[in-house]
Amino acid sequence: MSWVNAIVQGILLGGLYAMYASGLSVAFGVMRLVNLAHGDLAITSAFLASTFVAATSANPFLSLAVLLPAGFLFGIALQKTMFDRLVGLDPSYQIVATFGLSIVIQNVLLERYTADRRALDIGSFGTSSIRISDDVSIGWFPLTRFLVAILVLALLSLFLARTRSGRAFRATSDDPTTARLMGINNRTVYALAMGIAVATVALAGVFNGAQTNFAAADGPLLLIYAFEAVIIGGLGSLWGTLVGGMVLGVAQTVGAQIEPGWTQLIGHLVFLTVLAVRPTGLFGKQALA
Amino acid sequence: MTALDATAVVPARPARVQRATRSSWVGLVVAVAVVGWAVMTALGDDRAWQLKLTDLCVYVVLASMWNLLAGYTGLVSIGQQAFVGLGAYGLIVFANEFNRDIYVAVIPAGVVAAVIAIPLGFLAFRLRGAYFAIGTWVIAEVVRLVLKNNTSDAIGGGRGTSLDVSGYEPADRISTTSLVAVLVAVAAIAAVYLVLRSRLGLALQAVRDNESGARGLGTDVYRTRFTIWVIAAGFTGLAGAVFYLKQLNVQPDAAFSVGTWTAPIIVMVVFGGLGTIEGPIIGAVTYYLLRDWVQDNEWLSEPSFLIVTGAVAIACALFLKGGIWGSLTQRFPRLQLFPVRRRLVVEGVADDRRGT
Repeated sequence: MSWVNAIVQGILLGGLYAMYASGLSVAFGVMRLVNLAHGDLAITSAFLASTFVAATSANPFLSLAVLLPAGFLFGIALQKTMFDRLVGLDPSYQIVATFGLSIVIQNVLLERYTADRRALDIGSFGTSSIRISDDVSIGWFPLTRFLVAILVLALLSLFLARTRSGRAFRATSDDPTTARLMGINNRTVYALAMGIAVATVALAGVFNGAQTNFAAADGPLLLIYAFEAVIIGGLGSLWGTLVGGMVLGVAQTVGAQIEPGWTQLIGHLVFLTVLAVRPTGLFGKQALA
Repeated sequence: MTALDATAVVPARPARVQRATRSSWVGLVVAVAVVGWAVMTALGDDRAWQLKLTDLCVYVVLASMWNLLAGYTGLVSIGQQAFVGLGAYGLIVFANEFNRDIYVAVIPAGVVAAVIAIPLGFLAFRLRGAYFAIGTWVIAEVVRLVLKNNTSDAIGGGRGTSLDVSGYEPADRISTTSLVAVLVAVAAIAAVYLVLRSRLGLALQAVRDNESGARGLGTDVYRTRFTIWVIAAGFTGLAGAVFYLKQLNVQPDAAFSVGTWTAPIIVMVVFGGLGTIEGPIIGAVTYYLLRDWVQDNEWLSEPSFLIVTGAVAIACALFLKGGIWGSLTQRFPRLQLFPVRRRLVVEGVADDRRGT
């Protein structure tokens, strides 16, 4: 694999990270809540897709027809039963509660699916590619994944910019008290935001599972990637998150090119460098919350 | 009567600041008794109990330090395993490479953790709240990966390395290790107590209760928090060193594991009582004894036990914010084993039964 190819693959990988990060961004933007179980929900989705495949022997992507609405409803339920009690509390309690949720989900997965790694088989779609030159080829699957990520981000920004609910999101994000005075029901906005967050992460989880194998304990790493993409891109900027994800993806694939053991390390170091040099991220305007 | 009148009247009456209550004298007696029992156990012949005592002391130190950070400065770290691991590697490098006595090497191991915490803190402190939490987690991952990629003989890469204990008699070593563990635990609790009673402690509690108010009165918030971050890292490193004095073999994935270290610590602290001195100690002891009991009786599988602990963390954060100790002191306001609170007692003014 050449350097150019490493960079191309990294950019495509960045789409996946942006897909993870978009849900985190939306929830944080609207209610200043970071769900530390975000990555574990992605892994849960991948496991559920594998169960779906085992039961129906259909294409893993068909499971999305069930997983996306299920994720959306689960997000609403999670918000109504648990997260609503956390909004506006001292962040310590939000962190402890969602971290507790992460421990619960990981161990439920461990009990149900054991510690073995699994993969979603997408057949030749996962291996076929377009050859650009001798060194560079673009796989159909990574390309599709990247385009789906762009689609998700585009739909989200259209939703935020153009729809009535989207305006309610932005109003609640800017000033929850005034938004409520203007007749916006904050609880409804929060529930919708968490529904969207869980649905996007369920989508990302299936795409992740189709790309690489996964295990019950992988959630935290996905959370970290999503977080790094958000911070590199800059808080509060959806398209910045896409760039953040691509920077992280390129750092990882180039790191792997130098030395296989450095994949994650170089990604983390690039993140820390951005944090040290430009703590508001590449496109962020506000100070870090 | 206006507020101004009230402040004019109060100083006219004899007033004093009360710190110790009757329960803190009871606390002193209990503390002396517990430490006495621990030292006797460490010097005795029961190796199984000495091993347990070592683990217990390590958890008490880790929980107390995480609580000092989270409960008093609001800095919730999910990366304290970085300092556990640094303490472990510090111990082994000082003992093996510099031929130091293994017990003496515990001290530089703690110092190494504290010193490395300074540059790491500069990075982590750029983030707030939940992002600080994930940021510390990333930093701990970086430390793990750096050590994992270091394949020198001293560090051993992914396979890890072992403490050279060829010159030490095993039974003797187990006993001395537990004694060192008791000493470190006593020092850690004393440090938390002294910090909270000091000027720094007043500043901390002021920052926690009202950050902008404390800032307005001239508290250097950043510096106060940073000092605590470094102190907590140092003691966490000491605890890591003590644990690996018992464990002997260190591997990066285990020494820097969030699941082994920081996750149970968080559960211990929120269960016992975040933001109290007593809470983390109670939480650590309860957690340890429960896990021991569950494992011995094969009562629950390990994942099932962890599911329960995660649920306990959620329940405490949602419904029992002060944990066990917090709800006890809410019911009995004068209850405090460590007198760190100050109550103003004014003659002739009814006791409002609230600590401050």
